[in-house]
Amino acid sequence: MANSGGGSAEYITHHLTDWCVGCTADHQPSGLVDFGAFTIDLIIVGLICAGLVALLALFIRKRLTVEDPSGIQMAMEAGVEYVSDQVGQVFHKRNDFVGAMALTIFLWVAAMNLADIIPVDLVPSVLGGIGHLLGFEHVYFRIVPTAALDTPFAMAIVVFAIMVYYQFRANGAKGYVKRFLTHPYGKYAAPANILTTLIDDLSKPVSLALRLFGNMFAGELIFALLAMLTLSALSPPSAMVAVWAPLHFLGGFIWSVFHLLIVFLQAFIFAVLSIVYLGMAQQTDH
Amino acid sequence: MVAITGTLIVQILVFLALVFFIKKVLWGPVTQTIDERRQKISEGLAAAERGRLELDEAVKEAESRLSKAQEEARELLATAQRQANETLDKARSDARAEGDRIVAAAREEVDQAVASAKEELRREVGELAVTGAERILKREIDAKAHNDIIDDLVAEIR
Repeated sequence: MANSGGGSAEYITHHLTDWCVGCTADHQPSGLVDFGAFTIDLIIVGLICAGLVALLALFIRKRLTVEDPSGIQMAMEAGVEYVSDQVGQVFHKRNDFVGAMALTIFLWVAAMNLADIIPVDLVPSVLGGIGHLLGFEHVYFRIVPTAALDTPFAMAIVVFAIMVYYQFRANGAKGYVKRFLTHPYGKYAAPANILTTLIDDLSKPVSLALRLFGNMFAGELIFALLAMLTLSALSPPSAMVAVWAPLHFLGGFIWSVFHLLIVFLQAFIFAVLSIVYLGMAQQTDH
Repeated sequence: MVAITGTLIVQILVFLALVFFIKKVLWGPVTQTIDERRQKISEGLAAAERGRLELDEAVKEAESRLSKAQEEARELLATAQRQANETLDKARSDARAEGDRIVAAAREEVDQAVASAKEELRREVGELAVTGAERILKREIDAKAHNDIIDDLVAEIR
């Protein structure tokens, strides 16, 4: 890395700093919640991934046939059928919106997670080089939107909003309030009920978002730590690079393979748990 | 480093847009394709079942027609055989009757010839007897007067 001369802490920090508009001078949001700041890098990658998913959808739709499905169509049909089955099991009827949303979650999250498999220094180095030519001293660019809080919470909040809507639709406003007051300890423990139900409801979107964020953040961090094996031997240059560089590549390979599993597993878990939570929300027997 | 930012709002909008896009472009058409195929397969299976039943019926029909045709052929053959036999029998009996008739006619003719030959012989013997007697008696015998004697002689010859 061109600008990692300050050691490992700076390298890691650099890797975890976004290209941010509206951030403070040290390129960080002003606090834990700062709606004035926009992490442009993650928005760009998120849009690219959404575009790729949209292109995949257009590509498949163009070649849809009833009699002679292509391989990619059969794969997508299998996915749609799986999601449809899950929705059917939870909802006991067809729900195209929830199905489409779960499929979208899986495809978009998988696409964004896959950005983690791109070598950890590749995009920052290339963009850093371009930035230097344009006269910027520091170029910050993270490429995994799901390794930050915003994108996982964006999806979790949408899921949560629909959960609340389904609860209202199933039980009415009165039923919704009544559930807060009387569930689960009975009508004489209203304060405890409100607290428990609030935790019960909020834990779902929070766990959805944090599970994805945690997995992807840890994955990204491990790639950066592995890259530091070689880096530590290069500054200052030493003969130990002959030991650390092969270890770096071996470790990177093994972690990439393992992380590939996590990439799809987390996308899958987010999609399936969304279906399950929405199914629970539309039940009338609260 | 770890914070909720305005990116959240942007990503919510991107996510919602993508959900509606996927629902319209991917989910809808794919589920529709699956439904169409499902319907087509069930229709195809029903048609195959119908075809199988029709085939069974046709085979049964063909078998019954075949056995009927065999039965008819057998009857026809039997009739023909009987008629042939009758014709043969009739021809045989006709021939026998004709033969009998011819034999009878021939026999009658022979009988007539024998009878006429006998009559001729008798007449000649009678005449011979008369001539012989005349010669013996050197005189003419009144044939009329002795006709009865001659007739007796002739009868004896017979």
